[in-house]
Amino acid sequence: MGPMGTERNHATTSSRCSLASLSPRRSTAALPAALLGAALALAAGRAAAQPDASASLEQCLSCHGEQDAVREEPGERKASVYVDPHGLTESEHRDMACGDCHARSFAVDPHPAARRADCLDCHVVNETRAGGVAFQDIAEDFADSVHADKSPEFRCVHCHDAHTLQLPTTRARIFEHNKVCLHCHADEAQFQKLVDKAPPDLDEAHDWLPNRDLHWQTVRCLDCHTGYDAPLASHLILPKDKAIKNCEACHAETPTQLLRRYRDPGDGEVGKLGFLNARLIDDAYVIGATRNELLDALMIIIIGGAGGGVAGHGMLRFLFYKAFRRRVVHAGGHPS
Amino acid sequence: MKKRVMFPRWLRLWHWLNAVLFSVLIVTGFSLHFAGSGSVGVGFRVSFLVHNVLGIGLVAAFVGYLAAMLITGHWRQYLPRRTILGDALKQVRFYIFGILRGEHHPFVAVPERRFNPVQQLAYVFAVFVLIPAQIVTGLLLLFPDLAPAQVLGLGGVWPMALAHSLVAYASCAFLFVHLYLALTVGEPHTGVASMLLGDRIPPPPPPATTPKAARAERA
Ligand code: HEC
Ligand code: HEC
Ligand code: HEC
Ligand code: HEC
Ligand code: HEC
Ligand code: HEC
Ligand code: HEC
Repeated sequence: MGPMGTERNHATTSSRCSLASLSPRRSTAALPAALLGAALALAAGRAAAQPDASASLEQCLSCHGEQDAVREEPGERKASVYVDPHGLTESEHRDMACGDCHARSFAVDPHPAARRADCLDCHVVNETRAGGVAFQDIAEDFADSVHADKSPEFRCVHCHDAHTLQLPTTRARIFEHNKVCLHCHADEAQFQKLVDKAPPDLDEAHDWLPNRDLHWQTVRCLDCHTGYDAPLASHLILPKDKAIKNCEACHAETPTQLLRRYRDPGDGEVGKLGFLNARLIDDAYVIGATRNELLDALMIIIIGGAGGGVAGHGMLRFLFYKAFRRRVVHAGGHPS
Repeated sequence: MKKRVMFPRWLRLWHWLNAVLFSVLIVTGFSLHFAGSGSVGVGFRVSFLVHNVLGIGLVAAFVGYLAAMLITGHWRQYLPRRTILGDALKQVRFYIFGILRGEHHPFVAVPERRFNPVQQLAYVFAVFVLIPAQIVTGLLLLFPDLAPAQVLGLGGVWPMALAHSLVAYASCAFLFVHLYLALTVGEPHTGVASMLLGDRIPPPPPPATTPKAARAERA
């Protein structure tokens, strides 16, 4: 379970959800004709939900806030319909109510079949604003990715949980991001919802990578499996034969693959305590990438000192040897 | 009387094994540390494999050396005499001035005491400080999961990595000086040839009380 699963004080936080605070931005989302269906549902939801948005959140969570809320599936299977209330209030969607994304019809119990929500219903592809997320790039990359290619049903929500979605920042979150991929690639049942075969063996596919589990704590699956071009959080997951296998993509003075993940990578900069690529050293010492500049200066002193000392000494001896040769020979000693 | 061997076979073996291990470890170590700059020419992956294998080789060689040292009593070579400081000064003086004037080595190597005082100090440091430190930090880098996740708020293995590099630089310096002295200042019986062949030397002369007397006798 996620780290947030333990705290469940949603009743107090839910009052933060006010639709009025959302409306200016959300109005841009309802226009494109292609998404008319979703937009209509959304608009309807908004119109009707306006007066009792927070009430609806509490109402929905009275069932969905219980960890054992499940949907019966064919066979013995049960799928969880639990929604972590704390997760939602921490997420990018913290100011929204359930009804903003899920049609009003969910207020009825049992729910009638309803169209499922998707990220692109609202984050229409031209929504890009300064400093914001480039949804257009993401949508295009995703459309070209190996997932969209191999399974037409694949959608954003197969990887993203709108209820807990946070923008990536720290090491802890990197680990969360890898869980996104592992949630399918290490779980046959999830995987087979999309294609009718067993997921490929990850151990076998990555046996060339030493300290694999350590890598996976600091390196995202995305760092090796997506194209170079996109500036951030590339969604262009490439076929496996195009994945990064080259150690120097990360273990080098310019660790291209690792710096991509930061909004402000500070390329090759020397920072904290003289470490190169100081951005990375917070998470890990990466051989080759986070060398210490002070130490390297010391290297020149130590090795250069020894080499220079020896050379100087040799030179002196050579000069003296010439001058004293006669005396040495005369003494019958060993000339060295 | 029987001639005695300056360097027993096991010691020569260890010495040349070390020579190879040190050289390749230094080259691959640099290749890892400065990965991607194309400075060494072997990629990270190859350097990584070679460095690991030879690193483990160095541990094995060192353990073997410790064992042989205990069995043969060779460890006594590292026991400093009470006069070590004064003697070392004498030796240093020789390296700085005496050698330029073509003086004889102040201390003559015999199988019981192969090291001159400066060598002895240097080797005590190299064998009991540098190599063990390199082995410990190297093993922690090989098994980074054993290292703490964070040290002072930075990613865990950095103290090991820094210490490992620092000792490597010191080893590099050691190697330079060692090569220089061995190749150009070697005393009779301790040069490259004797390290290769063992060098048989005559039995010891009747005990001389001072190095000076010993020198006089040999002359
Ligand atoms: C009385 C308890 C209850 C309440 C209140 C409730 N739900 Fe549900 N909900 C369920 C159960 C049980 C299921 C799983 C069975 C099903 O799909 O009908 C479910 C399923 C869902 C699903 C998944 C549907 C699917 O097809 O995957 C959504 C979305 C949903 N609820 C949203 C809401 C929203 C939004 C609210 C508040 C407006 C709400 N629910 C209120 C019990 C409840
Ligand atoms: C920002 C939009 C958004 C908000 C706010 C939101 N959801 Fe969802 N919800 C989604 C999306 C997207 C899905 C995924 C639909 C899918 O799986 O196809 C989803 C799926 C669900 C599911 C089905 C889970 C499953 O595994 O099938 C339930 C239940 C649900 N939401 C309940 C809620 C409840 C209760 C709230 C309010 C506490 C809420 N949602 C708030 C976007 C949202
Ligand atoms: C019903 C519409 C709706 C759906 C569905 C929806 N979002 Fe959002 N999302 C919003 C709104 C509105 C905001 C702005 C909230 C704010 O800034 O307070 C937002 C904010 C965000 C942000 C922060 C954007 C920024 O520039 O800071 C991200 C990232 C995001 N959503 C991703 C997603 C993902 C991924 C999904 C699908 C899992 C999704 N959203 C589904 C409406 C939606
Ligand atoms: C195969 C899984 C997968 C799919 C499909 C997917 N994403 Fe992502 N997405 C991720 C992962 C993993 C991250 C985390 C990236 C990171 O750590 O920076 C992410 C990050 C994001 C971010 C944060 C971007 C940033 O700059 O930090 C947004 C927004 C987003 N995805 C939206 C979408 C949308 C919209 C879709 C559908 C078009 C989508 N994702 C499809 C896996 C996926
Ligand atoms: C250091 C780079 C790297 C990281 C990190 C990485 N991969 Fe890979 N992955 C590769 C390479 C390279 C291949 C291709 C291996 C081959 O074909 O020999 C691959 C292959 C795969 C395959 C295809 C296997 C097959 O046989 O079809 C999958 C699926 C996969 N990786 C998933 C993941 C997931 C999930 C993660 C994160 C938990 C991840 N990878 C992390 C480099 C990486
Ligand atoms: C919802 C389930 C799901 C999630 C989540 C998911 N994948 Fe996949 N992945 C699949 C499926 C299905 C395939 C197609 C397998 C096939 O048809 O061979 C696939 C294939 C792949 C392949 C192999 C492509 C090839 O050439 O064979 C790679 C690599 C891969 N995924 C990486 C990732 C990464 C990285 C993530 C996380 C960002 C991720 N996947 C998340 C389901 C998923
Ligand atoms: C996508 C980037 C990436 C690639 C590609 C990559 N590494 Fe790493 N590697 C890392 C990061 C980041 C760490 C630090 C992990 C940590 O300590 O949490 C690391 C750690 C390591 C470590 C552990 C070092 C230690 O002692 O701390 C070794 C060994 C290693 N990598 C070897 C390799 C080799 C060999 C390759 C190529 C076959 C490779 N890596 C490819 C990013 C990468």
